[in-house]
Amino acid sequence: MLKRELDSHFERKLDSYLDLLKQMVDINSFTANADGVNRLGELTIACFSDLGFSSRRYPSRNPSFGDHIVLSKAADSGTERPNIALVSHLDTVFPLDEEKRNQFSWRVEGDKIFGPGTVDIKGGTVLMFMVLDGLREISPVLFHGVNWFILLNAAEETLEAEFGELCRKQIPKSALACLVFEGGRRNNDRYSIVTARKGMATYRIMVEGKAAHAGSAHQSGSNAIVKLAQVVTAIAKMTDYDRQLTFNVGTVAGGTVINRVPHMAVASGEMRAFESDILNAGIADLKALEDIGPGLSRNGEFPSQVHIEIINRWRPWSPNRKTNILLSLWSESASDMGWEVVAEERGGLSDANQVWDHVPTLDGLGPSGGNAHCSERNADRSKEQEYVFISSFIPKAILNTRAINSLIEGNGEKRAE
Amino acid sequence: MKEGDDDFASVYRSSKPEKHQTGLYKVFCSFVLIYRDNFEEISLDVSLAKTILDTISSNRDEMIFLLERLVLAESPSTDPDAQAKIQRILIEQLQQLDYEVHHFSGKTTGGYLVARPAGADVSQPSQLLLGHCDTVWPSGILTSMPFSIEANIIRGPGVFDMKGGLTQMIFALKSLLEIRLVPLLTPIILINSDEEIGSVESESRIIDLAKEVERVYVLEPALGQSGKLKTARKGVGRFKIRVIGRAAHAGLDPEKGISAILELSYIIQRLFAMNDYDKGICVNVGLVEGGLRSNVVAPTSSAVVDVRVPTLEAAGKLEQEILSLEPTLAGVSISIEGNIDRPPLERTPANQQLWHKAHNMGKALDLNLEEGLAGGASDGNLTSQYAATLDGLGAVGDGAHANHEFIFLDKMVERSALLALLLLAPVHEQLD
Repeated sequence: MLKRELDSHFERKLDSYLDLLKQMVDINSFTANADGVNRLGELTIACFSDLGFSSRRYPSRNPSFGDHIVLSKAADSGTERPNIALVSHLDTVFPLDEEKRNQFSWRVEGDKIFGPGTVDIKGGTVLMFMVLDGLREISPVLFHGVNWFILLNAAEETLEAEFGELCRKQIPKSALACLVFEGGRRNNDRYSIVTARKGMATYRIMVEGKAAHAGSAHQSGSNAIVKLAQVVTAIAKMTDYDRQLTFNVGTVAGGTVINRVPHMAVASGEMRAFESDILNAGIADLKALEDIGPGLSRNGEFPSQVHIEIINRWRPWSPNRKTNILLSLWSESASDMGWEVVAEERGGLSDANQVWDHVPTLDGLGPSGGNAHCSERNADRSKEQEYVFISSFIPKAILNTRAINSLIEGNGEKRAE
Repeated sequence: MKEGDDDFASVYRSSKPEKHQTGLYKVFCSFVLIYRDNFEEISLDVSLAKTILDTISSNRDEMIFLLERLVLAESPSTDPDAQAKIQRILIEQLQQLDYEVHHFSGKTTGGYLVARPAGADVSQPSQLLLGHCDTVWPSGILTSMPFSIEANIIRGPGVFDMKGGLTQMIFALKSLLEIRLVPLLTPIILINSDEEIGSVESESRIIDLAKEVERVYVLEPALGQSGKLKTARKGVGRFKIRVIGRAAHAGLDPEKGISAILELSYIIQRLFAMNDYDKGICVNVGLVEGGLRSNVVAPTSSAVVDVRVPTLEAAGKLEQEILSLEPTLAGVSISIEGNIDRPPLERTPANQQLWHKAHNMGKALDLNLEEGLAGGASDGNLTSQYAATLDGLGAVGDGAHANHEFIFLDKMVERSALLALLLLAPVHEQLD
C-alpha cells in the first residue's frame, strides 16, 4: 500500500476533515450536557453514514448523559469476514460556561488548533474517519470485506462502567482488534502507541475520634485529624514504584472549630497499578489500615475508628501478548515509512481498560496535541488551552491505515494457510 | 488614650444629682479601721458580711429582673449593632450607681464601656472590675434557649458566661452604696463586647488599665459547679500552618508531584507529639484541609492549631518549637504563622495573695472557697502580667458555650456579696 496514494488522498481532503473537526468542536459536548452530546452524536452519525455505516443509540442509565452510539457496517457477502472495532467518545470535560468564561473555542495558530476536545477526543474521531475514508479509497475491497464497529461513549470522562458492558456485548469476541483513538504523543518521527493502562481504585477514608474542648478537656478527646495523618503517612509508604503501584491521598478535611478536639476527619484518594493482582493486594493492604492501632486519646480508652471505603474500581489494562502482536503491525507500518513506534504504558484510564481482555486492544491512535482537559490560558503561556497539531493528522492516519490494512491482509493470509 | 479625650467616646454622666458625700466617707474610714485591725486573724467583721448579704438578698428579685433584661438583649460578639441594647442597660444601671460611663465605639466590634465613680479623684489608687457583655450565641437563639427559672436554676444564653457575673457586679456595687460604704480603691469598670472573639479591639485598653490599677477582679464564671475561683489559666495560642507542594496527575506522572497532604501529615504527628499532659501542655490540631481531587497530587494544605500552656516559660519553648518545624519532604515549603497571644495567668505571688484574701473573705460568708486552674483564657490572662488578678468571680453554674448553660440562683447572692467584700479589701501593702 503506497504511502504516496494515501498521502495525496489525505492532503486533498484535509480541509474537509478539519472542517468536520471544527463542526464537532463548535458543539459543546460536556459529559453532563446531554443535548450537546446528542447533537454531536447526530453529526457523527451523519458523517459516518457517508461511509456506509448505520447507527444505533444506547441511552445512558444516567439521565443527564447523552446516548452512547454504535455505528456498524457489515462486510460485503462472504464467509468469516473479520470484525474490527474502533472506539472514541463524544463527551468532553468542559461545561459551556467554562468555555465562554475562558474564551475557549476553535482557534488556529500556526500548526495548532485550540479548542475543547481538539485532542481529547474529537480529533481522534476525525482521525478514525480519515482512516476508514483512506482505506475505502485505497483498498476498497479490503474495506468492504470487514465487519466494522464504531463505538462512541457518551460519558467516557466519568469512567462509567456501562460503556464497557456495551462494548463487550457489541464487539464480537472474535474481533481482530479494538482500536482506541485517544491522543498519542509524537516526537519527530517517533509515535507513542498505548499498550497498557493502569487500573485504579478510588477510596474514602473516614476517621471518627472523640470531641472535647481543647482547653478544658483536651486529654479526654481523641483527635481524628492526628489519626488521619497516621493513616496518610502509612498509605504513602505503600506506594511501590518497582511494582508500579501508586497511592495518592488527594483531599483531606477535618475538624469544626479550632478549640475543639476534632471528632471527624475525612480524606479521598486513589490508587493505581498495571496488574490486577497488584492492585487487589494494594486494596487489601489499604483496607488493613482500618486496624492501624490504638486511638490517640491520652490513655487509649477511646480508640478512634478508621473506615476505609472503596468507592469504585477499574481493572488495569495489563501489558499482554495480544496487544503486543497488534503493536508489531504498527511498528512494521512505521518502519516502512522510516518512522518508529514506541510502546507507552500510561497511568491514565480510557475505554481500553474495559475491553482489552475481551478483544486485543491498542490505544493512542488519535492525533497528537497537548493540554488535554485545560481551558485556561494566561499571558505568559504558563497556562495554555487544549490543542491538537494539524500536522499530526496525516502521518498518524497513514500509520494507522497501513497497519489496519496489514491486520486485515494478515487475517486473510492466516485463514488461507 | 484616656477616656474623656477620645473622639470616639460618648460620656454618660451620673444620673444622681449629688456627688460624694462626706457622710459616706466617714463611715468608710471607721470601717477600714475595724477591718484592718482584724484582717490578719481572718475575722473580718462577720456582721458587715451579713449586712452586705442581707442587702443583696433583699434585692434578689430586682437582681433576677436585671439578669433577665441582660439575657433578653441578645449580644453575639460578631454583631456589633446588637451590643447597643445591652450596653444601654449597663450604662443606665451604672449611672444609677453614680458612675460616669464612657462608651468607646469599635471599628469592627461593638466597642466597650469604661466606668468610674462620678467625680472620682483619678490620682487615687484603684481596682479594676473586668467583664464582657458579648456571648457566643447568635441572635434568635432565645427561641430555642429561652430565659427560664426553675427552682434554683436559671437558664438562658449567656447567663453563665457572663451576664450573671455582670448582674452580680451591679448588685455588689449597689449594696455598698446602700450601706454607704466607699471602697478605699476606686473601682474602675471595663465591659467589653469582643471578649469571645479575642478582645481584638479592647485588648490594649485592658492592658492600659491593668497598668493603672492595684488589682483586677474578673467576672468570668467560677470553675465547676462547686464554684472554684480561677487562680490560674493556661496561656492560649493559635498557629496556622500552610504547606505548598507540587501538583501532578496521580495517574500519569505521580513521581512529579509532592504531596502537601503527606507533608502536613508528618507535621501533624510531630505537633501531636508535643502534647505533655503531665506538664499541662496541650497541642490541638483543630482543623485541616488540603488538596483538589483524588487524582491530583495535592499542591496545598493547611492546618490550624490551638495550644495551651501553663507557664510563660512553657509558652516560649512551645512557640519556638512550633515555629521552627521543618518539612520532611524535599521540595515542599511550609509557612507557620501564629503565637501564644494570651499569656498564661500564673499563680504569681501577687495573684496568690489576692486569692488568700478572697479565701479569708469567703469565711466571713461561711464559704470554704477553693481555687482551680482553667484551660481556657480570659482577659484576666492579659491583666495578670501587670496587676494582681483574681478570676472566676462571676456566676456559679455550668455549660459555657453549651446548650445546657445555667447558673445557680442562690449563688448569685453569695458571689455578689463576696465581690462586695473584695472591693472593700485594702491592698496588702497598707497593712505593713
